[in-house]
Amino acid sequence: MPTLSTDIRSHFPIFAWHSREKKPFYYLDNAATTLKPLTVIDTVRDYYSKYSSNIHRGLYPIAVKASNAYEDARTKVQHFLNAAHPEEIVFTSGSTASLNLLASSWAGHMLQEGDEILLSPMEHHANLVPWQQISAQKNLHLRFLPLDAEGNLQLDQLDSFDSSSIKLISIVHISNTLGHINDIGTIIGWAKKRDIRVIVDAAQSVTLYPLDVQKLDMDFLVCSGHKMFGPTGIGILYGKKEWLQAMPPYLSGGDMIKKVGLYESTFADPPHKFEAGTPPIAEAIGLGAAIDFLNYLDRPALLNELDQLTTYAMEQLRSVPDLEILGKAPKRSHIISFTMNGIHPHDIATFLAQDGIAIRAGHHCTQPLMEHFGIGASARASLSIYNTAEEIDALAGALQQIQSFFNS
Amino acid sequence: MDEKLKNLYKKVILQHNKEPYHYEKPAHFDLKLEADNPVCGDRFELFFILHENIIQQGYFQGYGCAISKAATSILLQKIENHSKADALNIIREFLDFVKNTNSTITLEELDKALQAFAAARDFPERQNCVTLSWETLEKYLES
Repeated sequence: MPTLSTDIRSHFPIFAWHSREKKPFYYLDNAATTLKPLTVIDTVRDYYSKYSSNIHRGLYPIAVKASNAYEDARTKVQHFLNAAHPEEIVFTSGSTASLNLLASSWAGHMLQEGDEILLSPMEHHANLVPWQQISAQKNLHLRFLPLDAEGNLQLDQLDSFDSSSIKLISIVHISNTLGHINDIGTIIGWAKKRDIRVIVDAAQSVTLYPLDVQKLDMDFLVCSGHKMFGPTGIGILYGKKEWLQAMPPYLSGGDMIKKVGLYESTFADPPHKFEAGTPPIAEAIGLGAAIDFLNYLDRPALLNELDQLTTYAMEQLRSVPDLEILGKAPKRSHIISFTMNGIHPHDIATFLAQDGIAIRAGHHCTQPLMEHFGIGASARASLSIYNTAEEIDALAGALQQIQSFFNS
Repeated sequence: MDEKLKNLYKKVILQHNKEPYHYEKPAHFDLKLEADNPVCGDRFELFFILHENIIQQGYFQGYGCAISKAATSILLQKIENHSKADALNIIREFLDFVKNTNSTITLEELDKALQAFAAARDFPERQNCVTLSWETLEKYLES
């Protein structure tokens, strides 16, 4: 039975709180958001309690300190993704905001009527709806890479597309519902040969999977701080410098300008061109602390242990009668969606909650994928570095009980 | 198993979940309503056979949890052969009981099938499951 280091748990104060309160707590909802280590919480509190001030304008010491900390966080993200320049990192409020920015500023200005955007049916609604919106405005067409019956992207079908009108591919790296790992290297390689830009939605992968934007030759990458042990309300848009420079601003107002006149204005260079208004300062600095934390961890070792824990979880779940795991992938991460014959996922989640087990139930913002599997919803357990085999046993045991309660 | 939870999933709810009332699309109907909860993906189609001002029968089909299915099943039983005005009163009284913590309606005033949902007040995150179809029909009757 695999055991992740119990040391890891001591970094996350939420476990100690539940233990003091004698409340059972099995957190298996990491695909929704990860828990926060003390260092991130302390960093955010430090900003508010010691140097709370606005950035980029103040000339007094704490304002300078806040500005530096905010820009330091950008540099930490740059190094984490191995981007060539800090200006290639734009802070947003999350993956959703990053994708909306790209739909509006990139597709909205670079694409012409009749151009095509290639997506997949397993995209999170955040990587689907913005493209629907901009397509309706600009008469663009959406096309979809097919999935096989098990939910795998059929990459061998790429060549069946007439690529001449495809200008953009926006694709999820790891499915937030199935946990499938998509081969983004192959997709990017195919796209590069055809001068097609690629956006990678790395919300579920960036935390533990090494992503080198230069090595992978990525045009754009989006992710969310709160899924990387960082605060909510902060997200990342990585974009190659030349693409960001060519894009017009998304939101306009303070902090994104060069010079403002009564009738017209000029804009700052990236990344500030895309960061109008007071940004989420505490959150960005907190994200910087989360990246320090990730760098402090032995991520390859943790990833390996987490893979083993996931294999164990799959075995345990398969031993529950009438439980079906959604999708079969040759490569999967730590997200497991399942259904139980005749028992609605919400009923499952309510029962588990009474035992202190936190999972998610619903369509996981992937309704087209649910339709692909002919279901309305699924239950989803998603693991992270602090989960243990005991928690998996608790989940499997509780699921057995639910099964007998509903079928008695 | 937790007592609160057992209360939520009383026999009457489990029974209606297993054998929901009028769980089919009728050959003829006068009114179709859609009860959707976009947050969780629950979706029922409600079909009604009307005669003048009377709701003669209701049927439903779709996808939802044990609680939303049972609540819909019981709704259709309760309003059968009632006038639209009566049905609206029944619905409003029940919704007030489920949603309003200061409700003046007591448990004893509700009939037995509806009492089963009293435990939903201990599970605010599941209240929408109880009220989904009830609110859909309420909205139609108010319009």
